[in-house]
Amino acid sequence: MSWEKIGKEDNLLTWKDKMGAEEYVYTTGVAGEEFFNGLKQKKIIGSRCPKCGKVYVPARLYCEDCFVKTNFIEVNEKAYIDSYTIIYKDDEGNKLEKPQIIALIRFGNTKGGLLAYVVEGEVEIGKEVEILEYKIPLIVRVK
Amino acid sequence: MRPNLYFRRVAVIGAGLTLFRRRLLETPPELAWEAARKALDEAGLELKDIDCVVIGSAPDAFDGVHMKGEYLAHGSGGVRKMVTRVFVGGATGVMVPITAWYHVASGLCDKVLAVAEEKMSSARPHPQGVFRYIWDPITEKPLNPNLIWIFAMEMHRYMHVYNIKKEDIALVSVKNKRNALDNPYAQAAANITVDDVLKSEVLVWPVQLLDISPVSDGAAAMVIVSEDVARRFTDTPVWIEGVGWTLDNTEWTGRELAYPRYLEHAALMAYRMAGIERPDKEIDVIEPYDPFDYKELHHIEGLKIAKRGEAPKLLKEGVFDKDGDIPSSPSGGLLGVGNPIAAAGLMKTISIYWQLKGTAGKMQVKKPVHTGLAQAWGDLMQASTVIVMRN
Amino acid sequence: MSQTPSGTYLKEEDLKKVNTVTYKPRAEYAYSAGQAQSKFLLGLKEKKIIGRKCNKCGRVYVPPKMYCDECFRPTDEWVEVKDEGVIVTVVASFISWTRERVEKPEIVGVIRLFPSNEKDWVYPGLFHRICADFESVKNMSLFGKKVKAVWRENRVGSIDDIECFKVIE
Repeated sequence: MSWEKIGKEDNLLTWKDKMGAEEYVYTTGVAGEEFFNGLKQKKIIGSRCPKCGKVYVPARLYCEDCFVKTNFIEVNEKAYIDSYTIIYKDDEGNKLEKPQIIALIRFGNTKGGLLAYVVEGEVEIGKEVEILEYKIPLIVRVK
Repeated sequence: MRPNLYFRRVAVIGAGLTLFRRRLLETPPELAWEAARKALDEAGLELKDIDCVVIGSAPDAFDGVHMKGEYLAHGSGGVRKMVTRVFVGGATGVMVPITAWYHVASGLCDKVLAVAEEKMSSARPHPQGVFRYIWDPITEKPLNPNLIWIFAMEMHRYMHVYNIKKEDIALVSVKNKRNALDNPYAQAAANITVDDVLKSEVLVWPVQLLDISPVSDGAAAMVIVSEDVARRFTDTPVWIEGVGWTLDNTEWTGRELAYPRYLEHAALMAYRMAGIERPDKEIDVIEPYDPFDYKELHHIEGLKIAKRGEAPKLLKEGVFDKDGDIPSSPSGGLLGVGNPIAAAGLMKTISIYWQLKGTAGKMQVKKPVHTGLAQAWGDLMQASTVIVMRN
Repeated sequence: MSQTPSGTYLKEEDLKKVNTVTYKPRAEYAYSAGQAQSKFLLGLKEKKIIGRKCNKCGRVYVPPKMYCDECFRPTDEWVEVKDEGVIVTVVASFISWTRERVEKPEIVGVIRLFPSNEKDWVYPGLFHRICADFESVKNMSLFGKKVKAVWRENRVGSIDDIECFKVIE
């Protein structure tokens, strides 16, 4: 039995390589289709469970508790800020020109929410927002 | 391995499958939900009755979503429940019901929902590119290998050692694609001849286009419960009587490729548990893993249902046809139905379940069946999982 | 089996009609070769194929490993195996790793290196290119033929330092 070591660090080599397929094309799914088509028409589409009545935003194909198919509905409830954070650097560590505010927007009593950039107004938890652009992430301003 | 264990009896009472197609619109959780919902419906259970969830899904790199187990948990009913994810490459499909089995057999859970899903269409230009990372990065990858090379090498070795011709192997593709014509979920069902296979595009000699199963999206699910629960919910439970699984090393270059020794270990483990001493006489219907046509023969020999090198002869005699002595892949197998890596093995297990329950519809084999076997295989010539069920 | 199959089938051209999100992942790796493979790569630079032997079971690992996985103990010594061997299996590939078609087939296979013999179930085997043409692959005449490595002029310490294995008889 022996544990023979080479001894010198520089005798150990490394091999460099890149991983990953060329690119990924994700479909948004059945519920995603309804939701994204809704965004194109400036609507927020959610789904309601026929058994327990919970409404999910964005739309889901099924209720996660009752596990049955949900019905797609337009959500008109009040959009408000549930939480937010301020970003100073991008994901590679470079300083941004202007700090960005990202907020989690919830809609009334529904389950779930959407992320948004807040471009105008004093951001504070609980305040209502108006959606300026319907895309992902949303662009909103504080009312 | 001597099973000196005392465990509870475990049965399958529901199963569900989605269409297997090259590309489906649904996101992975939606696919998982479709299959899981059907399994629950057949079992007569609701999600709140399930105590544990087992998820099987092959590399995250296919779907392109990291931590896939957690991502799929939502669609598999795994929210606020005990969830386990398993992964052994292609063998995952049968590892999923095996894992669900020991959750119930140990007494830890009573009702388990087992789900396997794969969405391979997200990776572009072709999901095969993802298989590139299965190779050793230093000693193998610089040669730019394609996954099909390894299968071609194994197939050619098998042909050389036992003196088998391509015509004999092509019969498997013909049989399975024909069986798939009766399967409403199938993607690649067709009525082809040995000539069609031999004239198809040569990919990596000796492997040609019609020797391979197609790339697919799909999901499958099963509801696995303890004996008490099974007897309350159905008159025809299908019992899981034997399980086995093994992993070999990745040094496929340093061992004999013509015989899958890792499968033998897994099969013996399952047979010992199920009390089977002569597999070729005691098993009525089999679903050996067939991502390539020669693989079905290779595995039939590893399962000890045919002697080494003899499977092609038995195939020619019609032993493995739907109306033969040991019908093999009555569902059409991967060659006929499709190959979403993890879901394929579970699809085969579900096919045996339907055969034993008598609900396989047009796929039902002629002879009466009491013992069935499903087998999956995965990784770089490494892993094998076997499950034996009885009605 | 009274279920109706569910799932929405999309053809390639349908992808343009639905909403999709595209993403290109960036994952770069520097794999450390470790003791065994480092020595192996450095050996290739000097036209040598280095293996590692377990004295308990006698098995020689190529590429070398610091432990024997059958006996589960450290391997004992470095051995140099010959750059000659016998073809165990060989194939001809007409597709690249991105599934594109190539005109001239790439011939690859597994070579059982000497010293070893035909009855060995496990042996030092190497996966590499074989200098041959498609016909000789197709008629299965290459099985069992003796081959020797063709080394490149400029070697850098990589498995690619061997151009291919050619038949000697």
